Amino acid sequence: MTRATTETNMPYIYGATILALGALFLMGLLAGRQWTTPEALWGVLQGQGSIIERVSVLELRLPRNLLAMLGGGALGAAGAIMQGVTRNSLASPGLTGVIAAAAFGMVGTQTFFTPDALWLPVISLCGGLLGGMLTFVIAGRGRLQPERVVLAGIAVTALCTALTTGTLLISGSEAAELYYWLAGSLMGRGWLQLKLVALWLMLPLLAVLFLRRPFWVLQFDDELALSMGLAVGRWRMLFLALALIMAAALVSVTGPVIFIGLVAPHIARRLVGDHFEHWLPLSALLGGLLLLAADTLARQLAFPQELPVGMLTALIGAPWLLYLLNSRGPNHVG
Amino acid sequence: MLFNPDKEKLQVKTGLGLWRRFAILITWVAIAIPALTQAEDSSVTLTDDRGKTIELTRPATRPAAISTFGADVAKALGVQPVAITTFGLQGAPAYLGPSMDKVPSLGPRHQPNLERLSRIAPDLVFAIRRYTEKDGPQIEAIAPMVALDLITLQDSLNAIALAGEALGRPQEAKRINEQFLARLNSVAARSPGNRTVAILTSGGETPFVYYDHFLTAALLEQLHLDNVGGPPPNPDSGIPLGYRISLEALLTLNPDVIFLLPSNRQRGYTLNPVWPYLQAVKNNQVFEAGQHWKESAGPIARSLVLDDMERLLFPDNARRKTSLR
Repeated sequence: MTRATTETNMPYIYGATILALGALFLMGLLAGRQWTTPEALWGVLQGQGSIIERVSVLELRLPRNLLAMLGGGALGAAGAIMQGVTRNSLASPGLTGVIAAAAFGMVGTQTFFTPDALWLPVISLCGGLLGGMLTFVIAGRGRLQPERVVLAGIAVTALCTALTTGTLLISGSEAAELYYWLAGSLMGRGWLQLKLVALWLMLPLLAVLFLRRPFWVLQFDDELALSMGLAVGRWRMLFLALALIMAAALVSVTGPVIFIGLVAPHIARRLVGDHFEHWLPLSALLGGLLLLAADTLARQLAFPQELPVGMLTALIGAPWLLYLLNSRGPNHVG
Repeated sequence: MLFNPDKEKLQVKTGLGLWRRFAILITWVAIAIPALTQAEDSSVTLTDDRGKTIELTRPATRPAAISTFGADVAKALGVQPVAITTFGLQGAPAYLGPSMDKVPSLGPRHQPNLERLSRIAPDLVFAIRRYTEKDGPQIEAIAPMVALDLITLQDSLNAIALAGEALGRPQEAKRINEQFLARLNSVAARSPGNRTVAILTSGGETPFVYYDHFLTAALLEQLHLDNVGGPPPNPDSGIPLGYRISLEALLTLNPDVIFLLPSNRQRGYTLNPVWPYLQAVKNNQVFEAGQHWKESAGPIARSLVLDDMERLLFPDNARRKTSLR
């Protein structure tokens, strides 16, 4: 596929993705224990319908869909940043240690203290941010090297995972609850959770979309980027910080949702070809699409129960990862 | 021959002594043989919920409880347990009275301190099967273990009968079960029924609702109330006990009464905007239940649960309600 052809195709790719996102969003509003008909949905949006229909659509499905779309978008963008900045196609937001640290923040707090439900996302967000900062502090001696960030992230993730496991062992009656949270889920999340993290997700997401030009330049060789006047180290640091804020914010309300940040940028990369300037926005759109699709499935597959969305994203992501490894051959990892 | 009265007396005395000794011997044998036979009969053979046979040479007097059920049933049968596990968020089960505060704790039931159990040296361990499967051989190296399911009403009745045998008080255990069933039937006869209920637990954003077979839900069903959790998918194994119910599903089922089991923090799902729309919340029919609702298989807990249900569900006792909105 030539560069010109891909450029011509971009509006169609964006159009199809946005159309699929809109269709899934609509399906997410209709799907439930009792499916809402399109006529009833229209009535609800006009302030009509039964109380159960209004509450189901406006208080449960709508905020959950928005959280899935926004959170998935943030994870997709964060994944593209991680892969772009570290130049490692297997990098994902989890590699900054942020997800493991947020999980430890949640598990540790619930085991040793008795905070109100409102405080838990805040604590988890702080845990995630601290974990991410620790990664940067460890990696940041001298000029920030992508491979140092990855290695420091692996170390912080291992440390936090070990602490989480140890804490779970002594968490007694809370253990089942915590294991459920660690599976990652959008079940029961509504306006409250959306309001808590909306700014933390939206502002960095808008920032990275606005800054896609420097991000594109970062994909070139360091020397070339420097010659184009880009302060490579500082921009890398900024993008990584924005990625960790988005990942920590989402994890704080949903628990660990894995693979979206890995898979969405890969699909986007294949679709955009050499047009790196489209990589970030398309990764964000595909991330939103994937999480929304996974959540809609999670609500229906084990009816009347719900599956943890983290489990479904792993079911989608793991085969993708295997496909990726197979399609590249043994000598091509990065 | 001259009659020598002393010699005559002596002879008579000697003759009597022999007869007396013989009589004592017979009496001793008559008493001792049944006593010895009785000692042999005091051995106890039990079959627990694993289907395993447990032989006790005599009824247990130092039972350890790796479940609150063990402490509950021992106390109800007049035997003090020598070790207990923690009771939910509490340390010792307060509903069993202050005597439990002095009983050494083994920690949580899913991870009991076996070293401590070994030092205490019980002569029997009451355990919950699903929590002690991995530690079974180690526990049985310390003392015989009775592993029980303790999920359904029938499990509770069977376990109390079994504990009665193990502690040498089968008749008392039988009486306890009979009295409970009689009371349950009496309350059921007075119950107006025709209401739907949900027993919810969890402190997170999503509540966990119990299936019909879970003991407290089963008791509500016996009282002609309809548990919205519904029947279990695997009635034979009894596991899982319930499932995570979405608030949308809960809103559709819209129970008339909700029982909330203990949580150590404000429950996330009660903060959801949907919560106030639930029928039970609107009608002030949301009740906080104690930890004994979660571990209700023991005779004392079971009876307290029935007390709670009688007090909370029937209108003439409405003043004792507590509610969350």
